[in-house]
Amino acid sequence: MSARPGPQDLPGDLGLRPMVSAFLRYGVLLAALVILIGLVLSFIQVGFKTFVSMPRIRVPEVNTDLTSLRAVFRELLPPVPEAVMDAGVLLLIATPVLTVGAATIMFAVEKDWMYVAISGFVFAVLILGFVLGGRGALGGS
Amino acid sequence: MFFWIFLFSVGAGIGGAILGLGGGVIIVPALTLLLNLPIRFAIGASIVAVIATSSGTASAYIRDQLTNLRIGIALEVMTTMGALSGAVIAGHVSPRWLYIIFGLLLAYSALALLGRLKIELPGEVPYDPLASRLRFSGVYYDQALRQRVPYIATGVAPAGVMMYAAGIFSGLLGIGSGLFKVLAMDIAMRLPMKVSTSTSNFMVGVTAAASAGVYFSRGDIHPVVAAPVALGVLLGAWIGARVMGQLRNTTIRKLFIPVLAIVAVSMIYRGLTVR
Repeated sequence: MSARPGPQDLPGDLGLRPMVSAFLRYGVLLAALVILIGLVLSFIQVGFKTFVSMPRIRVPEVNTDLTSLRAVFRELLPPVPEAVMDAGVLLLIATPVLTVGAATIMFAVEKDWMYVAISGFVFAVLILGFVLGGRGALGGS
Repeated sequence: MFFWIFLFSVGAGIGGAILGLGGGVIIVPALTLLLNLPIRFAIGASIVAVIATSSGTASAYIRDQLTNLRIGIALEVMTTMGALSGAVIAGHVSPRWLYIIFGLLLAYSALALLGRLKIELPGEVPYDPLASRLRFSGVYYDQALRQRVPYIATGVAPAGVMMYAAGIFSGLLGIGSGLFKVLAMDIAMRLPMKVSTSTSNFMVGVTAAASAGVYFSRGDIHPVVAAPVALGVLLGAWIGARVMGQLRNTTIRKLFIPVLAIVAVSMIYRGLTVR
């Protein structure tokens, strides 16, 4: 096979990008796996028919009371299917935030201080948003 | 029902991954109009969908150097400040005019993009000292053209203003920031279309994550709706990211314009009919 031109021909200044990329891939896979486990658990609990029509029956009437990290984690043992799904969704929500954090570290390793400041600022705003917006979420019952 | 949510989500994931949108444009109408779910769960699910599209594609796009992390993160500062301003002025401006202004801006952009329909790569762009100071440049390997494409941004200041506006609009209306981000990078900064959409993909996830905490603590993110949406969108985004690399920049632009036009018309319509 002749050498096909590809991404390997790019200049070697990838830095930590492959690491950030791999980190993201495993984070997303983990989140998807947890959500899938939640779905399988609820499938086992309620059976196929209820499972397939579930949103129609339950969602409009019943609000979720899993609105805080504490509530979600409390219901994980023994596993309540909805809490497992929520844990997966929370993992997913955390991935972009962690990516910005990882990028900040990447820029620091590259000694790119201007971008350490810029992405550090974005990371701080994100964390602040979580703390302020999710104050109820973090301090929940 | 369950199956349909999943299926719509796969579609939203593919579309979002290719066009650099969150996919809320597809998710919200599908869940509310076709499946009769309450709007708050639909919006909560769309926040999850946006993050899923972003995270589902980010790994591939960062590895292939399509996403320009510098540009994305630096512009995210403007979007974040815009979103904060939006939160401050919320309640002081009428949604009617917001919808109409937003719709007209998008309609105008659709026309502007028509003139750029044939442009595959930006080529030489005017020198922008701000772009060179911020090192808004890069190189990626184009799988469709089978060549390395180096690029450098221009028009950073107008793009920054557009990003700020995108933040205000998405802070007030909860929508449309992906469209605006792609437009700012394509029209003002004149980046290759693929770089624009994949960098926008990265950015919309960060923007959505900033507000996700609020939605979650309000109980708008319902696990039974969000779980199939998340899985479907992740699958769709994974497929979309693989398709996108093979597409030509002009093809992506051709797919982008009709979406832009439809959203523009529906925004103006909503502005005219909202009470």
